[in-house]
Amino acid sequence: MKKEILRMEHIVCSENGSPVLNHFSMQIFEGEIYGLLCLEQHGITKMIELICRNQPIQYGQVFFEEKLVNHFENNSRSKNRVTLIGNKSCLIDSLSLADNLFVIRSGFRRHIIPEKAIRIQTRKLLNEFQIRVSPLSLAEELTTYERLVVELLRAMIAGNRLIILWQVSDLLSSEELLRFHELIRKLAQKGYTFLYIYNHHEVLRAVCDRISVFENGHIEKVFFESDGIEEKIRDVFARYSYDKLLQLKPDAQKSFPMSPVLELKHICTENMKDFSLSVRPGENVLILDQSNTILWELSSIFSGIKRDYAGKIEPENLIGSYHIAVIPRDPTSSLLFPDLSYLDNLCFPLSEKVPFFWQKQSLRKSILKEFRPELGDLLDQPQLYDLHSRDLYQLIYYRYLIVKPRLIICMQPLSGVDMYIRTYILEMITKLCKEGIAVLTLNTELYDTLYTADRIIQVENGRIINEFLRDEFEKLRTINKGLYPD
Amino acid sequence: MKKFLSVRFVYFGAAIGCLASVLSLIGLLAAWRTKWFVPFAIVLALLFCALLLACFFLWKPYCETTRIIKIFAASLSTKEIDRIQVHYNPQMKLLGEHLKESMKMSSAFELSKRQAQYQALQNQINPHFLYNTLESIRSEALLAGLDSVADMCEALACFFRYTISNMKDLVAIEDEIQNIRNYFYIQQYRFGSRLKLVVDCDEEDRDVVVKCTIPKLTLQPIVENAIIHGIEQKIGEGIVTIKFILTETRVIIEVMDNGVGMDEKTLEKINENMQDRILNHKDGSGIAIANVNNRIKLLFGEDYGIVVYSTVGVGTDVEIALPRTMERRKEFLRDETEGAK
Repeated sequence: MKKEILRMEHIVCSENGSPVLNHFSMQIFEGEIYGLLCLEQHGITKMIELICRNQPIQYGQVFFEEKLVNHFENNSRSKNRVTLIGNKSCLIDSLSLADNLFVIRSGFRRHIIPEKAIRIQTRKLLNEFQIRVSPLSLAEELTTYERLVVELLRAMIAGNRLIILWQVSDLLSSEELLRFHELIRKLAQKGYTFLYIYNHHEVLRAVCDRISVFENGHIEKVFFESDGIEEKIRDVFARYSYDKLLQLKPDAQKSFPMSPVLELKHICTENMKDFSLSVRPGENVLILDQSNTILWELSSIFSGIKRDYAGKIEPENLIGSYHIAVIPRDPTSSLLFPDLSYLDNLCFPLSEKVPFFWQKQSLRKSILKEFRPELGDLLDQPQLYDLHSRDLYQLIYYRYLIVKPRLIICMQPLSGVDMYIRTYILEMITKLCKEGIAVLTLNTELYDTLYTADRIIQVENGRIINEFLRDEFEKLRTINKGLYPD
Repeated sequence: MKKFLSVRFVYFGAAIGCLASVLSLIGLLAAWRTKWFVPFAIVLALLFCALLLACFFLWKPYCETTRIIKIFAASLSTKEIDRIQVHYNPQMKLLGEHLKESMKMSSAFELSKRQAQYQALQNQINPHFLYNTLESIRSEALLAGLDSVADMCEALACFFRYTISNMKDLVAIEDEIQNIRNYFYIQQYRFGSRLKLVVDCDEEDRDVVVKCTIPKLTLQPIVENAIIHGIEQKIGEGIVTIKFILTETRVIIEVMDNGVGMDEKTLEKINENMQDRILNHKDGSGIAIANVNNRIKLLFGEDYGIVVYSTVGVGTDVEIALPRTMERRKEFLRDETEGAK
């Protein structure tokens, strides 16, 4: 017999007059890992808010642990026993792990803190979950994986029965992700319930008992593990992206100019060991860092922030110039200026390339004329606030189509985006390559990036261990089946 | 006139009015043959008029409201509650509205029950003739060596006996499943081997699940929809899966098909139809689902009902949430009767 932890029935909810949840229904049982595959991000935030707190709704009802906690006619605004674990840390950085776990929690009413007992308990817990950190170390010293595990422990100590994992896979390397999945499987067997929200089925199907597909503010379909999730989910994806992704596959026989755009020769840093790499014009190279050790270092070398490295980069004058563009993870929040107009944002990187660009009205007019057929009315937008995420990503990639740098570094380009935008970003990357721009994708997972890559460089613990050309990609499947998408 | 009638105000007003009348009368007697006699007489006359008005506008409605409440409390009549014109306070007005709403619900349930009974009686006019005819066809088929026709006749007769002659509101899940198997058996003659039924339940819960009760004909209309709207239009094998999940308080039944699914608009329409308690769907979309949903809500309350998920090209899932046992249903009915008394 199962115990129902959460049941949401026909939830209708709007935000600023536009519907976000439209007859959303979902039920989660105790000890289950329930996957929510978001084809669209719109509505997810509201859904999470509603699970955590019983806010007013227009229609429907919510049951938590089989008790009615929210009804459209009557709601208490009370909190449910839910923990949300996402990309923002819930730990207090300046406090020790022991304090974060046992002191900073609701229900702790002691005036004198039994430090020794708390320390012993914390050590016991950390050992149990194989985290080699001192209980007295500060939360800010933790790696992302350790932080996620500590947050899980915190949820357990607080007695929260439902734990929401929101886009956590983007934060972890492939190895860490496997360990994390093992851990949540163990906890699920102990009776903890997980709602695992992610935007790619490859991650969810590896760990979830059921996967539901979220789109247009409601769940479209629920797939059970016993029904053969893989095959059925592929049917859903057939209409969204799979066919498109296959179309994006570059030609295996495609040839590139011999002279490289950039060459890294025997680069050594704290984490990188004898790292050599060359990228040719129009080539799309994927660096797959399974242990997530070199991505940030590599990106800061390309941006010109990190200069204390051994080895050589040729040509060195390219580093830090407009010839190399770095697109960070979640670029819509870090690269754009929402108060500026669409056109200003579009031309922003160009101002670095063309001196006195902002005084040259004719140049802006010619950009308007050239890109009007592709970007349409978006070019007239006075601000970016009302734009759809897809439009924002389009803006980012078009900026570089205009500037035409020699090399673009894409840091985990598909992280945190929904299925539609994933395919769109890959289309844009292909478009950049067709323009002769070299693209270097830095990622911790293969998934969809595989479809557009010409070459994959596999890195482990800062060292290149394998290099695969397009016709050798199948080898990856035999090396690590868990990594390879179907 | 005041919208709400405070009890304290009525008693206080009556007391003040009486006291003022007595004082004016004493004053009138004291002022006999003096210059104060006329003013006192006028005041007394005005007070008398005020008392009359108060009696008409305050005392009478108050007495009427009290009388209706007494009748309602004594369970002599529930219809009288509609006649309350003036309420003591806003809370009482709200209470009255809720009572009216719940009475409407129960009368709607009664009406639909009566309609169903009438329908059943009408269908029963000559069911035995139908069963006997089917039996005759079966024996003829057996004699002619047409075993498949005989089996089909038997399945059809069983199906009709269950749907027409079984007059129970609630049936055991095993009976409902047996009926679905009969229905499937008949449909398989039309669709052949491309139609499959899978009934799934946790092994440890199976014994409890089969004994749980659900409203009669809950599953059949949904399975029929799955076959006609989902699988019939699909090329290839069609599987209808009925999955039972038992929780501490509910039985959750998932009817899943791998048919053609439905588009966003149709799904939205079905969801909207399920919000209405009165079936009036001119376009005819999702009548069966809305009907089953309404029956569940009328029988067990708003905590239970149906949820539909669907994706074009992948299939449709109908999730039915019901209370766990028949005993709960009895408790529910007893609570309702006690409440009415």
